Amino acid sequence: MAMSQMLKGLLEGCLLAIIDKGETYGYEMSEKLQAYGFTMVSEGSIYPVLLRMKKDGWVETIQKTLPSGGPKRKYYILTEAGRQELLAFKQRWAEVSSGVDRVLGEGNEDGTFKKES
Amino acid sequence: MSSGKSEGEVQDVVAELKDHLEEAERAGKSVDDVVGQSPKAYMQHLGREMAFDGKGFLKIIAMIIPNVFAYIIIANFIQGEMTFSTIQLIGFPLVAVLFLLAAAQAFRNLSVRSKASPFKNGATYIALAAMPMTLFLGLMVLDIFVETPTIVFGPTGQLVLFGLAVVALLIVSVWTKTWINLIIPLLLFGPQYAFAQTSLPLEQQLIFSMLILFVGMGIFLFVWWKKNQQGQA
Repeated sequence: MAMSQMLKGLLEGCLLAIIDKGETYGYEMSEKLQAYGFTMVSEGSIYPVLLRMKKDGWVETIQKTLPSGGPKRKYYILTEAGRQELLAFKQRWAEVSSGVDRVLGEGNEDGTFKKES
Repeated sequence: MSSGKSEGEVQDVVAELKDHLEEAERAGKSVDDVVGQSPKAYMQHLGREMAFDGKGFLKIIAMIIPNVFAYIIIANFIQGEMTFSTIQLIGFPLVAVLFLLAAAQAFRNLSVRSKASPFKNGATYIALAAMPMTLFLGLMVLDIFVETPTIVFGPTGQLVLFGLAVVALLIVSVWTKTWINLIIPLLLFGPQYAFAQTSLPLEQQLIFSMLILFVGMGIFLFVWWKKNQQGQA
């Protein structure tokens, strides 16, 4: 499975988690993602996801004027529904990731599966 | 606008992306770094996430219709004669109303299943576009074959209708916040009317009217283009 396919569902949950830590804007979010190790994600790819999350009602946006002047910047915050979705995502991820870990961990060093006794 | 997405939303996204790119540029990144794929593919990706703005589209169509009627009335007014058959008088507005209703319904359907097959969506657009034309043709055919009393508008009636037409144009102009809705009819009909008062031969009248129209349009477009350039700088 290609990396992009694997990331498709996860990006939403990760962005929700980042926004949960505090209101943030697009560029800052992509920087944080990079810092967390998501170097395989292109910066622009978060915007379609953000648009979708806004449509689903999980995030809200507020325009803030910067102290340095210039055009207003769009900040994202979680809605109550967004917070619920984040909890659900954390649960789903715990289940899936532990399952994957177990499956991969049950194997031998050479990659073959241990036989069921 | 033509793709059906809400213009406000599009501008919003563009502004956000511009902001991001500016900051990325300051950090030394290139546009390619930010956009992982071809710009065109990226735009399509974004576009898919933006809903079809049925309401906005409908508003645009709803404004075009009074405009069309205004043009017809003004053109007739200049000729100095307003004579319509009952079929025309009742039929034209009826077609307009039916078209608006059909459009509203179509857009409601489209926004619900915007993810459905593009074939169905395309077919809806085509059917919708064909509707007014076929109906008008039908009306004209009907007009030929069915005798209906003709309605003649006398000078007062003509003035009243002319006034209504002008008001309609003004309303649309204010709503769209543009001058063009007033400028085009002015350039189109103004010279025609002015020259009709003179005793110049008809061909000269037409030629001068056309000249003024094109020159006027040219000037207007130039001024408009200039304004846009300044806005981008």
